Amino acid sequence: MNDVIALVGNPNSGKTSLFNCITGAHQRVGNWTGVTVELKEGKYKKDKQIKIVDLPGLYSFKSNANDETVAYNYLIKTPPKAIINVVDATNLERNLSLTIDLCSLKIPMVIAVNFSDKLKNKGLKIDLDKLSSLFGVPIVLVSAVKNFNIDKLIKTACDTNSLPVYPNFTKYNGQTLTQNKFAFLKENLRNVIHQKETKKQISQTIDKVLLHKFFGIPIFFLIMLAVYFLSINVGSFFGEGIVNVIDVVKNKASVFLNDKKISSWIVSLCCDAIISSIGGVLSFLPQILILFALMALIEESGYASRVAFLLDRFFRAFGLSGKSILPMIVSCGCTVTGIMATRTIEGESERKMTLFLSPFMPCGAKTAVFGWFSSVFFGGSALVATSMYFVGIACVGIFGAILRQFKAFKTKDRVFVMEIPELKLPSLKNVYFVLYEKVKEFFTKAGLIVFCVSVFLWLFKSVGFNGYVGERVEDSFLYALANAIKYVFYPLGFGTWQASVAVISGSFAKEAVVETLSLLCSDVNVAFSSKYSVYAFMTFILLSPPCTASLATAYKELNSKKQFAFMIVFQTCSAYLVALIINGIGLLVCRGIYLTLSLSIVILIILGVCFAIKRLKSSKCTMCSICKKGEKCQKEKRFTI
Amino acid sequence: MMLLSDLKVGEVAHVKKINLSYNDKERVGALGLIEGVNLIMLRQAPLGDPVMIKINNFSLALRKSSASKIIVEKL
Repeated sequence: MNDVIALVGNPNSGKTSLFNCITGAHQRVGNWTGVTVELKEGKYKKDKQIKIVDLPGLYSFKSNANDETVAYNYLIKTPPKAIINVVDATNLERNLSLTIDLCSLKIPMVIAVNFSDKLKNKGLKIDLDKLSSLFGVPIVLVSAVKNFNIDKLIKTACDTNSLPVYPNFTKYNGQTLTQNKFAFLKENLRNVIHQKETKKQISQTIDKVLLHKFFGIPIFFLIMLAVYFLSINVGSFFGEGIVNVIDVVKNKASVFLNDKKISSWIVSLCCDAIISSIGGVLSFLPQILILFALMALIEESGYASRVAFLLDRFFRAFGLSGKSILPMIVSCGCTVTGIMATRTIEGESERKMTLFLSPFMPCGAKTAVFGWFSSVFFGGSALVATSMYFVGIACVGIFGAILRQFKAFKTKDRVFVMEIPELKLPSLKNVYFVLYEKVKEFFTKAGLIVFCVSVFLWLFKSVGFNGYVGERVEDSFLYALANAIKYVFYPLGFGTWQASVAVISGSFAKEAVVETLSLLCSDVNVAFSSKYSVYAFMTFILLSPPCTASLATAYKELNSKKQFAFMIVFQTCSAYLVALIINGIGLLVCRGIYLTLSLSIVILIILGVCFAIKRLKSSKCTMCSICKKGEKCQKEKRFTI
Repeated sequence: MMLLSDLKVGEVAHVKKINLSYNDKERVGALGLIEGVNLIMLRQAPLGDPVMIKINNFSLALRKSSASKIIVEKL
């Protein structure tokens, strides 16, 4: 018989850490609300008969956030054998208000008081027996970090049959259930929690600096700059080493195969397609790993939710909220997880908008590609690659404002309330978990796609209407096909067949861009007309629709063919527009011919018209079209931004 | 009696009334911000919005537009 035990608790109460402890799994852990957005299953590592389910965190059953309903629906539809209610020992009152909700389910329950290692430091003492009698369920003091009492917890959960007691609220006369719950807890917890005088916490001092009114935002930019600088510079140092090794292997292999008198097409397939695609993927690994480790540190420490607090006001100007920042920061690591993280956003239109815009942030793969571009075309300047990060942020702002002009993205001003978890020292174990998962995923997903794309490209490049064409690329299918579409990219400055193919293969996996360019050009400079067009190409890669894995996730999250199609069109158009503008500026700067002048005038007129329409629209209140912008709208009683 | 949004950094107050819609009130309530709790105004973000408050042992970020609908009494 399979016993299912579900982990339920407030966001950030350490459910996933506990899950990893119990099952020995490597799920990602972060110090911000909503790391787990889907239920995850695993088996107890000491008894495979016991199934453990990790549910997304929730504050109460009445919540209307997308990720929080997942947990509620699960518990209602498939009641587990027992619930482990994970509560944060340092914040019992709020955590136990969910426990009251859980009591109404009539499922056997154990309360796991997590973070027990922090109690002493905080001067807290919890009377477990009194707490246990309050709800009529067993209570186990655990610590996922210190691996303390985990087996005892599972044993208790398996053995327990006692149903929790739903408290009697009749003597409290609050207007709402929430008020009653807190009144009940306040009265009863007085004897349970003993608070001694505490020293000032060090994390509060750090917060004073990180969240400083004037220095907070500059510090954030410095940190992000450092993250990119480190991953690109240090990463490419190791990456180049790998490239050198691969080159040696490639030469050795080609000499070896030629010696054996094997036909030239097999040699070409092995050396040009297989070995160099594996090498290309490998050479990106150091950069991606360093970026991921640093992003994991930022998420683990709890800094990410502080950034949301810092930037909320700025993001609101573009119709996004501070909560949109979390998915975007996560997207800087990987777009797939970033898109998944959009579920924590309550407003539907805001969630969609974040989903549309977060792929604009440079993910690990894109960063590696930009690192390659800057070392090949811009003399290894890390500034060029890092600037992509700012281009991404700027585009999120600009296109966010444009998106808001569409009816589907009108945002309603909902209440914005977010928990800011305490800063904590990231545990290296969790960073290791993230890296371990990433390396595995990198080789299975990205590696496989890049490998397949390379082999296909080689095939189309080497085969033409006359059969195997070898080095005569001009006769191949690929050349014929790419020559037809290259005119699309002509205005962007990279209207060569090599660059066009790179754009297409990049739509499968961004790493494939570099692979394609090095496979198709003996000298990569022939693919681009100027340095500006290289930069235009980089922005096009940055903004164009993300890799297939991200697209699949986006499709699942949007759950609508129409919106998915709109997203792809929107991202392609924005990529084209921005690349066009950058190349236009480039042409203007280096040539200044009448042609470019007239071209930019046309662009300016188009932009002017767009801007005028926007001004015209936004000068009126979006709700009643009577009152002026900034005034308090009489009809809807809320401010318009 | 004053509004939560008018509280200065470092001031302690008692929440008297939350004038939010039912859903929003439930939402902030689930996070622990209910009538009758004491809070400290921890800090304001750049541009003075949102604000960060501390209740018991946890911190919440709240926009000024919502904070201006919460009536508090300075302690």
